[in-house]
Amino acid sequence: MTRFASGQKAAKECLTGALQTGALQTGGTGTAASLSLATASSVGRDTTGFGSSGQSPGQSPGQGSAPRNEARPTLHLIGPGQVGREFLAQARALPVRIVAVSDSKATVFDRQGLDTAAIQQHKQDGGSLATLPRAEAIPTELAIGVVAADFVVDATPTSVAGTAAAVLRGRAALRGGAFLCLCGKNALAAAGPEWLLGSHRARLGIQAVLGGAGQALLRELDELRAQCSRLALVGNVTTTVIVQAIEAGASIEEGIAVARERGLLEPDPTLDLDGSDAATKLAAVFGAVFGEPWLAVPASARIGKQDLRSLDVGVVRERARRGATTRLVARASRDGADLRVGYEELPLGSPLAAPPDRVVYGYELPSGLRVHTGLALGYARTAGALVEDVAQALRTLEVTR
Amino acid sequence: MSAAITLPAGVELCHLPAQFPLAHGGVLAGASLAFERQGPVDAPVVVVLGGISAGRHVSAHRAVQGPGWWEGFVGEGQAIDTTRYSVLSFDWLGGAGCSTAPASGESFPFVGTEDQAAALAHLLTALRIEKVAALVGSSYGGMVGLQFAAAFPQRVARLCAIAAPHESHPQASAWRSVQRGIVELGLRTGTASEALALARGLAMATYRTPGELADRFSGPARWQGERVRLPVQDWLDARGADFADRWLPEQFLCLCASIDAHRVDPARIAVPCWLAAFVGDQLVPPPQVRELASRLPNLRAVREVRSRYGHDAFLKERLAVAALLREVLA
Repeated sequence: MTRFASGQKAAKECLTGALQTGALQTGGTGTAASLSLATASSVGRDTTGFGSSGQSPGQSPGQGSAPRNEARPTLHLIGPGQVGREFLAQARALPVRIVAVSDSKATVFDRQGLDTAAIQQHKQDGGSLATLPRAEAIPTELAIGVVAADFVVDATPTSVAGTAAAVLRGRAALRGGAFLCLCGKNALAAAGPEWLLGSHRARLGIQAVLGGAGQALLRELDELRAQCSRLALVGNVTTTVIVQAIEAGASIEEGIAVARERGLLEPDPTLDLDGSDAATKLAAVFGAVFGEPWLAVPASARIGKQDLRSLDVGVVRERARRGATTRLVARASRDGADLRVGYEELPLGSPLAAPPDRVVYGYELPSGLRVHTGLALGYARTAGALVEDVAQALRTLEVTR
Repeated sequence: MSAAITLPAGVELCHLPAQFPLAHGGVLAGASLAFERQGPVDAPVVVVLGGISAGRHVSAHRAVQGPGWWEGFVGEGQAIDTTRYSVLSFDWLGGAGCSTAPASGESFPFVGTEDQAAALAHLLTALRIEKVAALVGSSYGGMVGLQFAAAFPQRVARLCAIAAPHESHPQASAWRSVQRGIVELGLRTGTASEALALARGLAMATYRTPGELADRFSGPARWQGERVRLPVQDWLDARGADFADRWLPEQFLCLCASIDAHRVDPARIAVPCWLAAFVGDQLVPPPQVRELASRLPNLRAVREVRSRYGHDAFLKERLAVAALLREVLA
């Protein structure tokens, strides 16, 4: 059993709470709940999941794609959507046991390892985990405590409404001693200082949150916190695609259509178009680099934003004719007085003039502009960034052993 | 993959395609090219490339103060006149500048002269430059220039290759193989920085001529305890230490191997070419440049310059090289 810290107590508390609130509804009887409690109080030693058999959905005992190696660290995936399913596929190359998967309705859990291919297919077919045998319909943050996996990978898509829940899940994972790999930027924006500036930092993976530039930020965070005076980022590729389409002669609506065809628009396109996505990323990075544990990070909603639909296409094209370009740039100064998201003219040689295949984060240091770039765009590469975080943590674990 | 670089003020950046394919296999993911421009932005472009230890900063200019590696050749009123031309140069992929390169202990794919040429082509595209007025390359930069002219003939009007062959000479490769062996031994034994300094010292000895070294460093040996110390050693040590301060062993290995693997068919280079060779150059001997000249379909001139500086003459022989540059740009 490999734990970053003991999660046994927290797991027991969570499950006890679930029982008290009546939240624990098994696919079977109250007996299963009792067995689940036994599971929670002996985390890491039992081979049962929520139920007595420990059998995974669609799995016969002894079968399944996950390696049945008790020595392997355990992993709990939250959010088997497009990114999560791709993560399940890519994570087969990792030396981990995926022991639990949670969606918005339920959690499936097997200490010996789940048949992730079956779960992938089930979700691909539009199924809910709640319909699987032995699925447990408890709040995900409670399931995190019960499962007490070594890794919690939260691949839940970003949504404004889901921010509080995402923070609760993250806290539950970190409190239980797990290594938390994040995908959604909203949780990091809301809880960045809390997670990054304390003891949790070594157990946080944000490679996917920052589009593949998260590991570079964490690696250099002390230097950036000490020396960075201003930061700027071009973190929304959707608007880059639209701007390039406009430069080539398209209208705003046609540019949006191009982005939609490429599958780049967020589920709620407003987040891309009104600058909220960029503002949330700015808030997340601001909190990491300039934030203090006692200082609230500016809510992304309070950051001044320019809506793409207010863009003057004539200006965009005129800049292009002059040999310049336009990008949605999010900027912040250390004192927080200058936080803004807007469309700016950039020289073609600006490091921020990124093509639509990457994000760029720039940190002003006395020695120059530190530039981090990331390629983790689209669901497959986002999943790959989550895998990178797990792999990096496994390497660290190996070194510290 | 994530990458981190630090750009000093005045340095620009070009993002290469997310998966930049390499001529000898593999890709560079998320790579970028650091570059500098000086001169009027709307003037004809001259690309200037130097040896592996040269980089984007060719000469001092308004945006980036401090001396460059080709002061006296490039600038206002110089042979490459920055009042008439926009001069563009970049840091080598894999090298010690601000472009994508191996970090300490990091494996890095092989980057050939073809790849540097392809990166330059991408840079020109990103800057919306269809065709450059001239590409002037010395040493490794000349090799890249030959590759660029072969691969992208429509994008360069004239090529000037100074002390640059179509393939590395076996004797030069022999010396460089020993240098790489020294560095690799250093990496294996935990003495990489010392090894790199030693390898650079050996390289310096090959850059110059016997006559020049004799003029500067003749003198009796000094005894330090029971060890002999020769005047030339101070110079080699200083140059080696300076190099090791600025370069990682992995970066040296990357570009050193790139030189030795260089090979381009002169028959493919249809662009008008000017060549220069230096009598006394041990790395690119004049007979090799003559052979290149004989196989170029569009040779305009080949100049042989006698120089006591050997291969480094492209940095030192200001009058002769400037005359050639003016001829190319006339």
